[in-house]
Amino acid sequence: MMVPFLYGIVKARSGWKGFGVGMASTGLLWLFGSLYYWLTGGGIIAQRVAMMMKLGSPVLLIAAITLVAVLAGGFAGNSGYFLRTALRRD
Amino acid sequence: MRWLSLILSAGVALGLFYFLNFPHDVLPPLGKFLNPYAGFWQNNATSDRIPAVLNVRGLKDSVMVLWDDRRVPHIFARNDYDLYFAQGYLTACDRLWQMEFQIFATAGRLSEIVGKQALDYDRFLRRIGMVYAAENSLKEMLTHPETRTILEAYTAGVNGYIHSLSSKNLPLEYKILDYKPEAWTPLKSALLVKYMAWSLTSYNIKDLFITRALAALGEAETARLYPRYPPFTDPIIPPGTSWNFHPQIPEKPKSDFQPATRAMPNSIEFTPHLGSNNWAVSGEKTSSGYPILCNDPHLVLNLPSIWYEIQLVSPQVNVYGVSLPGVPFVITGFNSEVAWGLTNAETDVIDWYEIEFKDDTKLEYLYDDKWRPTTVRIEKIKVRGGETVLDTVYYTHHGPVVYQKTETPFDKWIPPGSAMRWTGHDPSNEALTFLKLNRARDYDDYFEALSHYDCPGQNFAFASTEGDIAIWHNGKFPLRWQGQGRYINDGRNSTCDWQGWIPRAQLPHIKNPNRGFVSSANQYPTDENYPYYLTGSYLPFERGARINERLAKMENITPQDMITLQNDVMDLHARKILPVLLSLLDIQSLTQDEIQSCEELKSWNYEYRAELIAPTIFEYWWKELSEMIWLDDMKSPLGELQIPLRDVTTSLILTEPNSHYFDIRTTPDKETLSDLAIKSFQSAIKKLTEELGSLDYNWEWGKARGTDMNHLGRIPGLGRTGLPTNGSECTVNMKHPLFVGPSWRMVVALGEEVKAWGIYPGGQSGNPGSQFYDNAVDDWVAGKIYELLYLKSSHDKHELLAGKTVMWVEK
Repeated sequence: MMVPFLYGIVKARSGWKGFGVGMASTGLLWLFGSLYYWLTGGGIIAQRVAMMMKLGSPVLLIAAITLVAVLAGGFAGNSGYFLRTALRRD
Repeated sequence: MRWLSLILSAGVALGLFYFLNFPHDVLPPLGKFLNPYAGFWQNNATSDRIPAVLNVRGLKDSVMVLWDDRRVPHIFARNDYDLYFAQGYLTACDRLWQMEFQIFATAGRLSEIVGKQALDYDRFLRRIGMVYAAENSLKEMLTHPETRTILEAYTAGVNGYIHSLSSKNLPLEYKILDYKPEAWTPLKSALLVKYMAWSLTSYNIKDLFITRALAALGEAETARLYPRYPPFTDPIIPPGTSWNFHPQIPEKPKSDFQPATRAMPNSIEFTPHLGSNNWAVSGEKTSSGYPILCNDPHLVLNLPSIWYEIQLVSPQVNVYGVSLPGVPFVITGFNSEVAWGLTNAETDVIDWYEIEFKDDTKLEYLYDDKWRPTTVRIEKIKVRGGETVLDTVYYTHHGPVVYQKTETPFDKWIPPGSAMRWTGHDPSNEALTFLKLNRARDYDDYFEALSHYDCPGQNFAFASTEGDIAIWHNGKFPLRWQGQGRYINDGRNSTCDWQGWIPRAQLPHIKNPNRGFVSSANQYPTDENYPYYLTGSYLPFERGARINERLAKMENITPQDMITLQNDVMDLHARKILPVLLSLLDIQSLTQDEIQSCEELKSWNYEYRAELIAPTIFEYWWKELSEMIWLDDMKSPLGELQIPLRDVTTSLILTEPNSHYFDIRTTPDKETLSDLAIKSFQSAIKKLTEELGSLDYNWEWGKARGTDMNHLGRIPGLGRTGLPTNGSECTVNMKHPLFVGPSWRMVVALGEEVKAWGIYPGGQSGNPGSQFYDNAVDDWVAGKIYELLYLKSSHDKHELLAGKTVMWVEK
């Protein structure tokens, strides 16, 4: 979450930008990572973890992972932007 | 306004940060767990790849590992130190979490991992002195130079693997439960031996129950309902075997001791009874002319499996079999000259001694009219997310007082206020037995190896290429007078202590019997002519009887015949009693549905096959009948007694059909056996219909009573459940609902070139993401078995070999 937060502080032009970039960066990173490891021998582990977390299928599991990444990255970026603007005001 | 946005946004971000980076109740820190670059995705099947090279610090020389297509490592080392180092290292590669978790459970340290929910369990393990037992055994193991070196090598190997781990390649369960492995020590190997010892001897803690039965029913009735010598037998040592020695039997002391009996809670939880089969057939009966040995230990079935297949080769040894992760050596297996297998002896090695303390400090207890000091041991139970709990355990010379009179035992069989005398607490070096068995070349080597083995007692079956077969009911068993060991003893009186051990050479055994085979299935070891008093939790004779019945008939036996016998599901109990019960049913009084069920039973061949319906009907019927016969008679002023063992019921039906036990006391009518047969049958059909619907495929035995193999840590999603298995409690292919069964099946055909077959329900890898986690389960359910690869040299080629790893010495 640190990277999107720092982006938010340093570069974001608006709260939405901070959110968007944070969301995209972490979300894509985790989505592609999950897909990569799923397709290179992750079929069994995905099935079992999905069952363990009561998500039913690996697809739902990957969706859940992406959602978590998107939210975490998004709010990190967003709050970075607001921190900068709030401090600047003062 | 800006500040408000900041507060809101940062609030959510911090909340997410907190949620993702800390554990919550049963969830691990999700941030780490779901992160593709650090979490569970790292445990995918790429870990199955066989590395060509492993640089390992701690080896003395290079080690070659040949892997077969089931991921069994065949280890070729240049010296014994490296061999057992490699065994430790490679076993840890596949099973580290299992090894550690079992140790934490045995040592009463689960609270450190899962928090205070495990506190009562942990306290119980501390009270029975598992670590104390392991410490005593370890001292003994370390005095012997060979076992010392091997234990240290194995430990170094396990630690070599642990040190190579980073956070991202920790086994999955560490990530789920959010903790890290700690260093392995020789004490942990000793603890694992004690874990098996307790599992296999703790059936014999029912002295409290028999004591209470004696007080409630008197001697005659207690002997009738809970006989020491079972009503039906097919003993391990053939009946009529003579014993050519003068036994030293201790005298029963004169004592008017009456133990304080306590009210027992009415429901005693079911503990699955672990047993096994083994047999060896002489070359006289085999088609090859060489002996064949078979073993299938029956244990609680978990994933990862309790066993790990391995071949160990050094200039001093070449042995194949299954090992216990956490302990060096092969436990049951073979080499080019001999094969051996184990079944649980069941002979009682736990007795209880009622203690009289001087006062509430419990610092002294009465013994032979003098006050003797206790040893106080403070146990520190660390609790995750909470404060460390201190627990004080008072040890007498007998052993620890597990629960005080004022406490409620975690295990309801434990008599409060009594000390536990267990051979498992005594110093011993079972490791030496396995070291020697692994290297044995003939009967004399096997006999020597057995002399070092104390606890848990086992029936060791043996066969050699020289043509010998043998079985020894072996262990350290106390010398007892008639009746000792069944009841709680007087801890104040030294004449009530164990007076010695049955001399090794006088234990039940036989070598090259006339009948041409040896076998055991946890039944009573001898006929009643054996001079020493043996008591224990022996299992019903039917399994042993079936094995003997089949082996006696067979000639020109082949390995395939043995595999078929291991899968045999003929139930001798059903065969004996069902015709009698069916003859008591009055068809006129049955409904259409009941008649249909009755027809199923009539056409049944007594085989417990998963696809048949009759086994399910019979099981329900027998349970209803047992309860109807006994439950009304089990109430006593001292509380509820336990339903007698099944063979007592069978014997009653066959020999005393007019017994008063068939009358249900709580009804005004006087019921007879016929009445109960009909009533229980109707009640069984009613229950079956309520639970499973009308008679159809849902009544099939494999569906109604399948097998569930849970994950060792009970983590959902990581087990295999609903397996449609064959077998009953007393068939050779045994099944105890829901989770006990043959944990390993092995058939060894000795000869000029040894050949062997084996399978266990699981896989070599403990990684749930691996293709080798549960790859053998379906084949095991289907009764299949794999050819085992017994290699001679690291240059051997074979179509079943899948890869090679060289372990180099890292400087």
